[in-house]
Amino acid sequence: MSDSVPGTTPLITIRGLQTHFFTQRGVAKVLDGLNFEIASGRVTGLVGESGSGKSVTAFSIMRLMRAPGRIVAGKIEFQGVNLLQLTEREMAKVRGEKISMIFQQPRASLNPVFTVKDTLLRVLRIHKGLSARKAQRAALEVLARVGLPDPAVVLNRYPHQLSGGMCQRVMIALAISCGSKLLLADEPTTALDVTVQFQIIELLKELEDETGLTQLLITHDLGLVAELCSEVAVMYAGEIVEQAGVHALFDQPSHPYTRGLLQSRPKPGARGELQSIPGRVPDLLAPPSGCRFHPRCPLAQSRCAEESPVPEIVGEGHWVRCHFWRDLV
Amino acid sequence: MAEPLTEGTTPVQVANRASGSEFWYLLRKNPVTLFGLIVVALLILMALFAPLLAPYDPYATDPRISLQPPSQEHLFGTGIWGEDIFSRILYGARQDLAIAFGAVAVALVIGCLLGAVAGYWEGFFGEAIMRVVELLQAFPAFILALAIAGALGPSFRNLIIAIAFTNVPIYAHLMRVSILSNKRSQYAMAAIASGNPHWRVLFRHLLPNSLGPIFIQSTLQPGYAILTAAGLSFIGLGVRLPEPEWGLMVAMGSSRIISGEWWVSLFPGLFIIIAVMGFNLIGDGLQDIFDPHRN
Repeated sequence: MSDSVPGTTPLITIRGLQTHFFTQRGVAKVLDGLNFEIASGRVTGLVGESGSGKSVTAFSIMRLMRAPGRIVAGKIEFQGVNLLQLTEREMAKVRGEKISMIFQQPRASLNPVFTVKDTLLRVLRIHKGLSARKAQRAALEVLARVGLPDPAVVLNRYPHQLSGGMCQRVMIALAISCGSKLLLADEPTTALDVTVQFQIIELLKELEDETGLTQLLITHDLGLVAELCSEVAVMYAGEIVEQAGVHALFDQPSHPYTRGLLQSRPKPGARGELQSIPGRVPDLLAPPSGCRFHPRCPLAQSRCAEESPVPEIVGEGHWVRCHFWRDLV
Repeated sequence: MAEPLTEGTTPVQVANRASGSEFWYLLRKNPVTLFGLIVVALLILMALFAPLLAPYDPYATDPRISLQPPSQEHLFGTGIWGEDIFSRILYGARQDLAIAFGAVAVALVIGCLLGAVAGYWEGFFGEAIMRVVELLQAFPAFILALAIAGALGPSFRNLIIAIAFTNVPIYAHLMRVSILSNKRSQYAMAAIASGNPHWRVLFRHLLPNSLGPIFIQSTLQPGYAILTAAGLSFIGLGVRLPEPEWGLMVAMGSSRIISGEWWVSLFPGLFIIIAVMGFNLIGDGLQDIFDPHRN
């Protein structure tokens, strides 16, 4: 495949995934034939504007889509199994045990009526069948593992008694407690203040280095991507428009959208107005024909409105979905 | 220096109040609610200690002292067969409170279960449940209770069933809406994402978080239940003689008001009013206390 990452095997292979939203105004084809791979043992970044379908991708992998959203077609292959064909009961065994997820609002992710102990021990008992005593020991270990200073105290706390950063650490503890292979992190640091963001990033990095935990980092923060990821996929209006190693992407952005994203970052020492990409994310109830980016694209020509571009190889492990990417380079 | 310091310490004390004492604090600021609580507490005590408080046997009759006005021996007077109305009112509190709490408890359990399931599994299953619930709601509550009590026959147990049925839709709707909003919360997503089975997410995660409105509704509901119970007994479809029940007692005396024996109906009627009012005051007050928009 054109989009495979050199030197690795994909842990998750998504083919032709269609997740549609059945709204009263019509069907929004948010993901309409998504192809995507997450390389094993790496941290892959998934970047894009709000509403580009990043979270929908993660929720689809977890099969957490709720009405009006529904997975219509496609294949999500994980360790040789198509997740979309599992029964709900089999899927429950995958969630939390093989694939975990952490969310944007750490405190809102923890049930306010349960202590950390209630939440964490339950998950350990569901997946590992541990006795209460063993589960408690495992819980203390994993809380220490995510860098919580006083695990025995934290264990008996309610979410409202913990800071946002501590809550996110608890969520990460929950996510890795049962030996997950893949962590889906949906904007894990967006709601945290900068110093805490940094600590959480350090923790995720450690997890990659020490246990080889595969991660999908969903974010719109390119700084975070540069810090943490080795692979990046850029998403626009439900399609991956460019995927590359992190250096290749920053050195040689080949899609006009990627380039626009990189240029709209504030640079230290730079003065004047920030550059932005003109226009806004298209209405997915009526997406633009051809290349979905063409109405906002500086390179757009008549061909772009007619013909949807296919992935073209830029370099090793680097591909782009644009008719005129060569004009940019 | 001392004065600004003491001023500054007050808010700290306020902030440190435990949630239990905060409840009492709010209650003190809501004297009406407190009054309602006291009224209901007194009624419950009255029901519990009826055998100790009642001067006479509530079932005893004595034709020689029939229809005597209130006096020192018979505080609220006597009825048609010479029964002591005060004693019967005390015992009547047992009947009416038991019916009210029983009916509300049954309605709460059934209504919450139906609403929770209907809210969690939207789509055909949930819709089907709510259509059945709405069928119950299509009738005025009293008419529905009347029909059910009429069909089942007059008895203490059937009265509870009839009143419970009329209360089920309220709880089902409240619970469904609560679950609908809570299940889209991130902690519900996170609970599923960490592998909890759906029944567990519903009953252990969502249900406890959805009980707030149910709690307030449950303080209002016994008042209405007493009203319905008394109404049904009044027209002969509830508790039957010789059981002491307030509605029934009002009915017994209703034909006597015109001939001047007002006390037979008045005193049980007063207690119905007091009980209904007590429950309503609690419910209204709690609504204010738990309202996040209050000052």
